[in-house]
Amino acid sequence: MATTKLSDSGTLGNKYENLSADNNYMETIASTLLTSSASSITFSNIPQGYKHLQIRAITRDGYTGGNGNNMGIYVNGDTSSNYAVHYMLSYSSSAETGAGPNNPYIIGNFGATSTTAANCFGVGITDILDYSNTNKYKTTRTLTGVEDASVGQIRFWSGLWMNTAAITSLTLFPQNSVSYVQYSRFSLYGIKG
Amino acid sequence: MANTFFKINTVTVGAGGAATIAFNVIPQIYSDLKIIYSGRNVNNAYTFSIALNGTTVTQSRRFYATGSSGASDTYNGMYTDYSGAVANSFGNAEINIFNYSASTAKSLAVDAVSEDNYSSAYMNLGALLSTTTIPISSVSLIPESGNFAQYSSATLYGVKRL
Repeated sequence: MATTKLSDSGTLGNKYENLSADNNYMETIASTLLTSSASSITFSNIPQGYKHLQIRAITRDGYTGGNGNNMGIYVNGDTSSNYAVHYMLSYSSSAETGAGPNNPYIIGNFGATSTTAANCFGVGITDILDYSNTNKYKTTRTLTGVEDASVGQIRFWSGLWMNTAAITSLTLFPQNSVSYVQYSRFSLYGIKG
Repeated sequence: MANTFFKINTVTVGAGGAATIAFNVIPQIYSDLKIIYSGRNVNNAYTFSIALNGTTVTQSRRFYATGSSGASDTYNGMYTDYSGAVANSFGNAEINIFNYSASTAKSLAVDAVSEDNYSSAYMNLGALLSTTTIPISSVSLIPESGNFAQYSSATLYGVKRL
């Protein structure tokens, strides 16, 4: 828990006040920096004390079929087709939109791959709102992209998990049955509300 | 970690819905404002707009998609779920209002999505401009028509610079 120093002096002497309990509204729940390849990353036992969740990811994987690869996200271990996704994207001088009702997972980060320039990673932020609210299906919003010297692409995704249960775990994995490589990072934040 | 992100207030819509989601007490001690919105309209109305100090922001440029097609226009609405969407689905949006206390025009950045288990869900990225030079002391979210549904919520945050 962070402590913020407010001033060096006062009538009561040196004054320190802990602000994090009331004022630090975005906290790290968990973070993983890969030291070796991994086919998936799971955040489990997600605490229910926040209003929203945010995933921040910087990834590269072993896919060889293109310069980018989507991240799939399972919620609470649900591997059935209880999801929907929609997107708009831009690459080169083109733009596309699309939809995936009854999808087998949500889609998040668009990561770099083995064919992307060396040392390049894709980045993305996924916001999952009201993750504990049992009156709502869970909607995600992701802004993500990957860029290197020759190609690049940005993607804006929405996702829906058609279940009102509170989210307690999230499993992140690269599409196309590959693994994330070393130095990929996955962080989960809780946002108070 | 320095504390730079603060909650100002959360509004949650109760039974019966609400015609607006309003934040009427905004301290002038931050650099920027951020609204995180999770909502749904009770009518067949799938956008909402934002008003600053009681005046709807109308200058807009957005890039949007409707599932099967995308385009750019100057419409000031942000997408949310509506009565025709699958039950229990709620839109997801973030609105950032920069330099809200300044005596200059106010720039806003928006990303908003609705979700549905069909091909026609909507999403948009947008930039908006309010030409008011008065510091912003109130912010309202206003449905295109109808009311926000029960359980819709929005939280207003203040963002400080170091």
